[in-house]
Amino acid sequence: MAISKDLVAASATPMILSILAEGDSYGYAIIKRVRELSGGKMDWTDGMLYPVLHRLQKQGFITSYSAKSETGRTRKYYRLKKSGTKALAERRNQWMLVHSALQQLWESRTCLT
Amino acid sequence: MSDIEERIERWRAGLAGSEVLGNSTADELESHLMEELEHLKASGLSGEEAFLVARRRLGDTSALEEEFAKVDPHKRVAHRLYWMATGVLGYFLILHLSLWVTKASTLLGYEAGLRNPYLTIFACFLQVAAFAGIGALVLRYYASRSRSRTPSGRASVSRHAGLFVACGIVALWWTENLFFHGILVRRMLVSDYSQFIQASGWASMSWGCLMPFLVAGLVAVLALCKQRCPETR
Repeated sequence: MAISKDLVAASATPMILSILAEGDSYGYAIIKRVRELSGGKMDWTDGMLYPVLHRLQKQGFITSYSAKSETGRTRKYYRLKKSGTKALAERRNQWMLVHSALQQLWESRTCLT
Repeated sequence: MSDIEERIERWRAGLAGSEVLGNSTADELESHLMEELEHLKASGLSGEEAFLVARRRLGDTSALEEEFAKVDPHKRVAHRLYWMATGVLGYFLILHLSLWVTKASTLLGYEAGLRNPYLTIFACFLQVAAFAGIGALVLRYYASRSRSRTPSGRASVSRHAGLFVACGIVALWWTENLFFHGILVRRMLVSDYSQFIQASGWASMSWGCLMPFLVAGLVAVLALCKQRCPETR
């Protein structure tokens, strides 16, 4: 079961912010983490992650810096800022609200059947 | 450079040359592509296969451009306005360069003792030779730039093109007025002034006749370059 495009797009921001809340990361590692978390079912087009990262940086939720990898390649790392942590808490509440609303609906429906 | 490296370089150049992506985003996407390439090669894919899969996973360049354009919608408009202004300034630069060469070649011929019709022939010849030389230098520069492996060098020239053109116009304008009108024309006898007008007029006309062919040639070369680099999209 693949997750619909709309849901992938809607969950991109909280997903990225949550991954960065675990620690600084870079594009390729973020994509890998998303695949790992969703068991490969949330398959993003890799390149589409970057506009989201740039938008979050423009909004002031994250910041970036360059650092060398073990192989000597320059990577652009992203770090969550205080405002990003705040935004993540807000998003989390919103998702939990949607989740609980849907759960209530589905639970009551299960009882009926 | 191996075939894969060359294809990566062409793909990267396409990203860096985009009006919304630019060099730093191209670096970031290239770094991603390289990591994916290494991962795919380690899992047993050939270089060619790994490149094709990694590129496909990153997505189409035009779709990426659309997404990046949404992040900063004014960037694309600003970029287009910048190049339009640079184009207009470029026209004035060529015009002043033509006037500069016309006056310089006519006065050079006059100082060397040439008088009409030889002065006119000499001015026309120098005018055409100067622009053919400049055209050849520009083409050589673009050919070497497209082969260049250093992306930062390529982008810095593009970014400052408008500034170079504007400085060029100011320099030509000042030297043209101060040097030719202020100093050298005074050395000319009044009776010879008509020779100067005639010779420089013909020289200007020879350049004017040549201009459409040069522009058509430049457009053809650019179109050919674009056709030869399908990897950039």
